[in-house]
Amino acid sequence: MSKEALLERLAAFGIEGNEAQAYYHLSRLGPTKAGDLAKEADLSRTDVYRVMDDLEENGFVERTVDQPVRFIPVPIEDALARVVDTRRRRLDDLETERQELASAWPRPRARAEAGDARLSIHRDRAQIQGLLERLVDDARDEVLVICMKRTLARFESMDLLDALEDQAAEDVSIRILTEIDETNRATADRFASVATIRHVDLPAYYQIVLSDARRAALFVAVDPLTSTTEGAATVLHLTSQDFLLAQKALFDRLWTHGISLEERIHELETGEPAQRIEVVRGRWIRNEKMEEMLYRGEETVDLMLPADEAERLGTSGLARVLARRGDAGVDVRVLSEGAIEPELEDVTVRKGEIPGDQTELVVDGVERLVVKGGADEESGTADPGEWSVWTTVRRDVDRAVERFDRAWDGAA
Amino acid sequence: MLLAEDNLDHVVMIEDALSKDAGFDLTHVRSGAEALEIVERRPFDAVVVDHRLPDWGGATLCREIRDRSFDGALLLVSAARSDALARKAGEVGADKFLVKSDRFGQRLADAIRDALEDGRT
Repeated sequence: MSKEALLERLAAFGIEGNEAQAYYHLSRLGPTKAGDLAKEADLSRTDVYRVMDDLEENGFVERTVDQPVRFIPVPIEDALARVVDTRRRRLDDLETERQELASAWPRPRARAEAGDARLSIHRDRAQIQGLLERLVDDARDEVLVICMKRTLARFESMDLLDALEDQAAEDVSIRILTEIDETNRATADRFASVATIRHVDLPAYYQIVLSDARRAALFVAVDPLTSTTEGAATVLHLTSQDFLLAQKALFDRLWTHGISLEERIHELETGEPAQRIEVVRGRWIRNEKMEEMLYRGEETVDLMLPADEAERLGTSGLARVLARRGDAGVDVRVLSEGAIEPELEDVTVRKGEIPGDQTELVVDGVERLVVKGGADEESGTADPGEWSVWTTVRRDVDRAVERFDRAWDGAA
Repeated sequence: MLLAEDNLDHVVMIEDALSKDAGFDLTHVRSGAEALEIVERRPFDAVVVDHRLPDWGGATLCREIRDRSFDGALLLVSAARSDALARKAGEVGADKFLVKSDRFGQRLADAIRDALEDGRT
């Protein structure tokens, strides 16, 4: 698609003119200084700063704190999803308003129907079943499903498994993302005969069936505080292209975080987490990730710190969390190349050389985070260029534990 | 404590986590406008702001809350693991940025306690 055509389509999301130009070029370049972007997008530097303010406000751009400031493009799927989300909220409000207004408005005895092909609401079980069957039957390329763990069994009782089976026989790709545990493992197994299933921890109520990214059935919990029963679902049938593309992008993103059914079953049977690898970008978020790991720790925490990191430990907030875990009975060992201030209570600290000269954290011998590169000693607790790797790959974690033990004994 | 959060699943999760600690008296609003309005009328020890509210970005709301002379504990929370947002939280006067991930409830309760303690010393 040509640049002009892309920019024209972007206008539908409220980004046009200089903003669209600047975002287009920034997306091609990656993190860029104002002067370089001005040259590339054929704008003045003043214009670039003004346009970046607007794009940042709208969630399309972020900026670094360090000088000189560099602008970072937010991935377009994320930025567009936010626009869609905002508009969806407005649409919800409008729908409520429509219903209230329509019920209060004077009308003649025979009322003309004014249907909306783009959005319909389905409430009872038969309606929802009919809609889901039509969505599956109409798919030519793929069916994507995200659902909570109990919904798989409901889908099966609605004969959806049979409908999916027919489509799988026609080479339609079927992918399901759901939460799998002991309670729905057998059901997941049955769906696995017609679909690729991955396990994912869903952060909130979210259920959708997408058919060829042309139609979607979105499950809505009207208010999870009051309607917690499974039978209370309302389903919106949507054909809005923008909405569907955003949902497809979200599905793809969640899919990459999911683990296969086989890995999940291994997890459930052995209690060992699946072998996973994740790149963690930026020092702030690395500290966040380390805190999350520390809170998960139940038995052992092994932390190696180069001198500059030891100095920063207090200001990063990690020192407090280490002491808290020590107080909770976790065996916390810190091997540091430099002095740690203030002193850590309930934590065993040794001073000595650390292999690799990088911050490294291993928790319970099952997960490891190691800083890999980009770290700038001068930049304090914020270093957007830093990147780390978090992993639960067994061999990698085992070796890290051995390395730590050797270094720990050497420092005794 | 004031919680500005429009996702009711997360409200329930946070209420559950904080109810284990005696002494947290929680007021909940669903938008930035409501949060500002109530912060101007009532004193709070702590305010927790979700990044994605229907009307305000969480970081902007934090700045507005600080501009209204709020000097208690201020925390920004988000489902997004964004380094830029974490840094921005510090710039706009938030005491802490937290990702809604594993052990979130426990971490939030501890973070509020830490921020309150820091405010007293």
